[in-house]
Amino acid sequence: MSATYSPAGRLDGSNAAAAESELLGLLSEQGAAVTVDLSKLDYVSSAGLRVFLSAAKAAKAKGGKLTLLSPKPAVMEVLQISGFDRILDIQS
Amino acid sequence: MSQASRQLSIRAVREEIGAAAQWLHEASEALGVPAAQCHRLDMCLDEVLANIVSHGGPTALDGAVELSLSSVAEGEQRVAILQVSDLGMPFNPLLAPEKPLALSLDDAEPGGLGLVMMRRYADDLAYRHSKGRNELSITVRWSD
Repeated sequence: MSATYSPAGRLDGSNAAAAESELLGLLSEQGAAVTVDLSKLDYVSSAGLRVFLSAAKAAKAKGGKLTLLSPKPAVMEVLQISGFDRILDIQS
Repeated sequence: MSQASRQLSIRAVREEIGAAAQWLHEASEALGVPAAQCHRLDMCLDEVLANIVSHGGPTALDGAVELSLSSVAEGEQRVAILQVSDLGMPFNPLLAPEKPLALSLDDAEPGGLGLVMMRRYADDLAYRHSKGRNELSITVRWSD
């Protein structure tokens, strides 16, 4: 069973904590396979990356997986700069 | 070309980070800073403000975080400088060690990415501590 989380606009210092709560909540309620649909996300800062990292670790701890889907170029750039493209599952 | 600038004062709280980002976009437009350069400054601003909010300590709330954006031509290049001044604990982000990038999910720890971002997106970073304030300058350069 899997769930999809679709953040839109910005994921930055102002809303990362709320996003993390929502995403971790999805994980605990819906099982350990969660897809984060990034197609509507224009911007992510390191605060947002921490959310992805936290959720990916939580999913793995439950025997599941976090998948990032369709990042926009600006978001993909941040994932590459941080090296997260090598440690998270990202699909176009 | 004349030098122009825009300023904003905010409190060192998470709830104002969004307003700061919005100001940066409006100020960039007003000063003719292109979207791609504004994005570079935006990435740095988010890191700096997140640090101030999370690690500035109680003195960060003694007064405002002062933001200033200016843009000027230097020969054939253009330059935009974002300055952030706060009353938090003295902290020079340029001296913070840069963590090596994690090689696996298990190795990865939250935090430590802010400096990687700032160093990657800014052309120059300068810090000083003066009159009780941390003062950070973030510079981006481009050719039109």
